[in-house]
Amino acid sequence: MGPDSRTSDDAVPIVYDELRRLAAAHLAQEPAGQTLTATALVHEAYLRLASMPGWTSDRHFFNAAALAMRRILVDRARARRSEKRGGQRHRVELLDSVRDPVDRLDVLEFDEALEALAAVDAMAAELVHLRFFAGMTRDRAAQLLEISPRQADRVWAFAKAWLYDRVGALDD
Amino acid sequence: MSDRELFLELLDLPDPAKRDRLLEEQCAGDAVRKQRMERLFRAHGRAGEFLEGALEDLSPTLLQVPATATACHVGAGTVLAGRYSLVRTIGRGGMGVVWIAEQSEPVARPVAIKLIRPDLDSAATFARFATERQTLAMMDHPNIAKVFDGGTTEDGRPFVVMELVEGVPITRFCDEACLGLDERLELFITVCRAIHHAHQKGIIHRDLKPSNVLIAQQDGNPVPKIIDFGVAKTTQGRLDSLVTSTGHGDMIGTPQYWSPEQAGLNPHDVDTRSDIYGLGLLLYELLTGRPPFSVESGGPIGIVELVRAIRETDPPPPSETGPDAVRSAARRTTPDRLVRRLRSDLDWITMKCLEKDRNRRYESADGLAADLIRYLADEPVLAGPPSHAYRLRKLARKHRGPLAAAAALVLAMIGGSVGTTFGMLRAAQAETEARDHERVARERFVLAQAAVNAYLAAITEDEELKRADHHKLRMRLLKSALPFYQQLAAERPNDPEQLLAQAIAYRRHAELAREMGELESARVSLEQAESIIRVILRKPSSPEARLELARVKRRLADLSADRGDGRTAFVEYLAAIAILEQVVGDQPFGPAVGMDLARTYNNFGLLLDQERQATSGEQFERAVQIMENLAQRSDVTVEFLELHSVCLNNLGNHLIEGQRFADARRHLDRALVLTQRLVQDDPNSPSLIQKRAGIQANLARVDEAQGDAVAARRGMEAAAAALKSLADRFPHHADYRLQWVGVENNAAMLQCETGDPMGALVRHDAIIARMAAIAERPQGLYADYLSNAHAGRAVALQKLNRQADAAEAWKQAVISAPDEVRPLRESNHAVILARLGHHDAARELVTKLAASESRLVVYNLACACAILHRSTRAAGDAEQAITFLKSAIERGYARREVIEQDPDLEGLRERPDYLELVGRTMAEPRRTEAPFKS
Repeated sequence: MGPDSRTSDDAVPIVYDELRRLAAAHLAQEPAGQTLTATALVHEAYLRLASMPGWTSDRHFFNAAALAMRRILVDRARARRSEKRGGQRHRVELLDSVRDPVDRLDVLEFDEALEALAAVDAMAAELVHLRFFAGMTRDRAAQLLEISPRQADRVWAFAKAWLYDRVGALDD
Repeated sequence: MSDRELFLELLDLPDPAKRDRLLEEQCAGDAVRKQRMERLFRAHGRAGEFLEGALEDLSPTLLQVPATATACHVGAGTVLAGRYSLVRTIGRGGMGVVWIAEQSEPVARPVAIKLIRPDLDSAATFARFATERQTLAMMDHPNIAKVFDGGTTEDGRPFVVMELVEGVPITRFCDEACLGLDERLELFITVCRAIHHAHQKGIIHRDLKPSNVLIAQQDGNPVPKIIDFGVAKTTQGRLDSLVTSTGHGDMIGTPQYWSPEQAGLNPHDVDTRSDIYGLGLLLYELLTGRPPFSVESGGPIGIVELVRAIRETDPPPPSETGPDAVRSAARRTTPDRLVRRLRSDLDWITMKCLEKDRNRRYESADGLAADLIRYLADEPVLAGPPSHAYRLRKLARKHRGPLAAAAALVLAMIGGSVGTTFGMLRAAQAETEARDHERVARERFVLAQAAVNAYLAAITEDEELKRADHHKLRMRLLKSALPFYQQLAAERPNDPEQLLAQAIAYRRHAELAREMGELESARVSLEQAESIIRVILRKPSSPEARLELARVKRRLADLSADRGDGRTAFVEYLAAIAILEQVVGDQPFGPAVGMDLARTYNNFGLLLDQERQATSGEQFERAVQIMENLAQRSDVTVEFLELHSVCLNNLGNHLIEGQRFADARRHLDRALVLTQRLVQDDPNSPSLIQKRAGIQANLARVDEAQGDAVAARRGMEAAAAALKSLADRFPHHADYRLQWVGVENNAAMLQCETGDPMGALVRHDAIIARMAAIAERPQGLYADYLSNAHAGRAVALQKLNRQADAAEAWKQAVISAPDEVRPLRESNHAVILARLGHHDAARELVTKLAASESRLVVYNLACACAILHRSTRAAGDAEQAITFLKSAIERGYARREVIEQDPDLEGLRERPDYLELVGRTMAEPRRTEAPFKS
């Protein structure tokens, strides 16, 4: 198989490694508590990897990057969950006007829901991928998917409702 | 219908009843699907901000840096190497954190300490860092922050101790101090010198940007200090800084200061020329107040596009960055003036630094400084329009092949003939061999000749080289061909073909020299050419040699006309025409000879016009007739069509002078159609654009003469705009600028005439200011146009009823006028002096000009006398006025309505001799013509 016929999945390990390496480098450098931005990580990976031969298109790359980012997050979430099971508790001190960051999304749950959506509507899942994990704006994602921004809004509305139904169902 | 399609269709239906109906329809018998759709709908109503936001906001802890990751505990109060006490951080870069620290011994002083972050490949990084520190310590320059010391922390992290520079980024300093461009450039030149010092020591900065070039105060003087030298280098190049924003608001989070090579495949592949690029960025920002590349949105997609832009697109040159009032004020100037100062030289210098291909940048920081110093001293700079040098080099390369081939062949040929001689001296048995040698030599000669000819043709016919901005190169290439011809001619002193080729080379050289204004060099070459042809013509020879002689004669005539030597020009034109007419005789001739003939007639006509000879019209008519006869042929070239339109234009122009406006329009319209067609095929050709503008301007003159000032102004403005853009594009091309000034002046006069004297006045002022700035060729056309601008100004002032100012303007118009126009200006001056009541001065001028033959002068004198009569009531003045008026009308002053409405003639109206007279006229001031030479 020539480099040009590489699919998103084939490319994921490369992006995955690069993203992990980048994240590690930044985690080593930045002060504790600072949050990395996922989109910046992806774009940095893009800057490093996009000029490599083998990408058929930006869409190809960003899908691979989104997938890699999703895996990193899922891996970290899994590791975290097992930590929680270990049962160590931290005391939470509330400071005036500064709130600790709170996760509003269970990444593992979301990952499963997205997988299910992909089976029902591949384009809707890809749009979520690009926007959520690769940090694309609506317009840029629409451009990659070769649909109009208006169309992207409509597909997004569907995906959002679909995923909310799945992920949010636990609260209901 | 898929779930998504159904969902969206339901969403589009505002009416719940209709929605239910559609749902029933689509989910008939599928209760699960119906339920699914209903849940989706419910979810849609509730989802709200779900997923609307960045991942890191929704799940921040996942992306949070864990406490264990930063293992090294360094903070305020930490003492390094027993003598540096950390105070606070002042910045963060790719390689680590910078602290302010207090040094306790051997001297107590504040220092800056860069603490290197522990890295995965720390051993290699540390080793290289140690070497770099040594190198940096060798640099000793007042404008580079010094490296004092270095060491490692307890847990093995290296650090470097540097001079603490307390200053502000150079861009901010310049803006806050409102430094003008010259002062900015002087500071910048100091920076270039410092960078050059570092480069000579083999040290590259790699990260030049405003925040790394600080201005410190030393003894009250601003002193640039470059910080962060070479330290920015890391294993990952400069990409590290992208991911996290430092929160300090500096631009560390974006790659806007990367060089194209740093943004490229291999960010480590940097050299001193990357610093030249960095200097270019700095210069750009100092001049314009903004970086050449930036992220407007700040979004990450913007960054991807930014990197692409850095690699692939050229930023607008500084003059096209649209400086606003604030940025201009920070440079102590106005937007207009700033743009003007940036245009050309500063644009070129900056853009040469910012070339994508580093081979095209300045070779050294010193070279950049030297060019800026040349700029400040008003000397020509080395930088040309962007990529200009590159294009020139490319062209030179393109033509180097044939020249090298020619050179090799000439050498081989000479070698061959030496061999021949040698062979001849040998014994008889070698005779055959010798003949072979001679044959070889002759073949080589022919080949060499062909190669040199091909080279010459390539240079003279290359379209790219013909463009105005390549004249110098064309000239140089051509000059390089001349020695070969001389050498070839020396080899075959009696070969007429060879001699002719040499003569042609000289003639072509002369043509280019003339185009470039090197008239003397052109004349010498033409005389060389002529004497060579005379040698050929001593023997019976081909008509080609005679044709060539005619060409040389015509060019000698052109040159003489250029130099104002009308008499010589006259004789040479006649000689050229005589030869050509004799050669063509009764034979049919092709476009090439036809063009020679038509050109000669055309230029002869222009000379006669210039010398005020009535027969000029016949020459133009003959030129047009020749061109028309050949125009139907299929083998006419672009050059032919161009000449055709030139001849038509000049005939049209001549007809305007003769007040045959309908005929003039007919010819000019045809010229315009021809030129328009040529412009469509080659929309960027400066010479075509110039010709079209000239024809438009002349058509506008016809409009005006026929009384349609509004249409005239429209055409004139279009012509002025086209010429202005040409003059801007080719600032070193005096002709475009000059012609623009002429037409711009016309447009301004028409603006005055169509009811806006105030606007016209402003424009005339601008023209005069601009011409004063050029201050070149203060005679000939230049003087004519300058005088015209003053005259236009005077007319506008008269319309604004500022008579005293107008008198002063007329005086200026007189002073700057070339001899042939001066009487006209003086007669206008006389009119206004009479109006202002300066009777003696007015009379003095009238007496001085009384013998003039110009109908315009005489008409003005009539007006002056009529005004004098009105205030003095002297019968003599009235009689004189009538005499002048009569004489003006006899000489063709034909605008009856002007005479009838001219308030200056008021005092004459009841006189019976006046009533007898009334005729036709023309307007003053004289319109600038747009004649062409070819």
